Amino acid sequence: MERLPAETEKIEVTDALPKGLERRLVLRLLSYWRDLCGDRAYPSFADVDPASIPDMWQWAFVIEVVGHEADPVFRHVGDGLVGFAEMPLTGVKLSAAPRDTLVSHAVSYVQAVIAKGVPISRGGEFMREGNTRVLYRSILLPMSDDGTTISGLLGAANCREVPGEG
Amino acid sequence: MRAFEIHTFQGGKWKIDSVFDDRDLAVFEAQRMEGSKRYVGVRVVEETFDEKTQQTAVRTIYKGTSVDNAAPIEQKKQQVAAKGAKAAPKGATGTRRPGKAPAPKKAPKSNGLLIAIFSIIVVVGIGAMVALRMLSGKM
Repeated sequence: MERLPAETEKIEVTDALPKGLERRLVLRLLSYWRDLCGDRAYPSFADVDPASIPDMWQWAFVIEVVGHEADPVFRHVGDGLVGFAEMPLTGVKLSAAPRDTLVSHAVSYVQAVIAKGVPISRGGEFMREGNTRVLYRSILLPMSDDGTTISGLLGAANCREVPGEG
Repeated sequence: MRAFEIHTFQGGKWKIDSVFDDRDLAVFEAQRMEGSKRYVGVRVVEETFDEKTQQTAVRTIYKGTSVDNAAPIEQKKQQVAAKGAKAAPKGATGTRRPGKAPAPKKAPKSNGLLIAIFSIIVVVGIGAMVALRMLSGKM
């Protein structure tokens, strides 16, 4: 086991973190992804067992990158997300996803994940029809068939709507 | 624009593990990673990009407590490994559960004490034989 540089100092966070963070979808999926990784840089889609994560899978989506690097393609979109998508998305290119939907915002940083090669989580808000403000949180996780080259992405997103604002 | 990068110490350097745009999520995840004991070091680096100046300010907002524990834990492991190597006979390939310390051996009795007891028994025995011979000569 390696050692840290001698000059490394501990820095602690003094203010308390909000409660319930461990229940956040993005952190639970990230934890699942880390378990699948084991000692590898990235897990394979073959390792994913949707039946073992039913609560997360309905808010998850799968993106195929290999062969579609410039404009990846949806290979799965969970039932929970389909309701926000306004159209079936399986087989659809990311650029064709309807704008200002939960899914379109969740995949807006796909190229950043491919470039950095690490999980990225982003959140934000957008306005949808009916003057409804939508607060969302998403995550994109790199996946690989050979353990080193990114062949696709596993993502998830959920949201909270705040009607009548904006 | 702000980003919070979690870094882990691997292969002698810090590497990006994941990126968040939320400070609390990043720190919580870093603390969770630290608790898993899988990483020698975990830290959260805040990057703030100023669009006006086109410059990025970087500062570390969290470093895990394993930073302090890493060296002592490593030293202890090396000490245990060294003891195990000395105690094991040549060619021995026995296995031990990781993290489980070997049972302490019972302290051997002092050799000096055993020699003293043996000497007393020998002296008393010889004395008894001499006494019996003297008695038998008189009779």
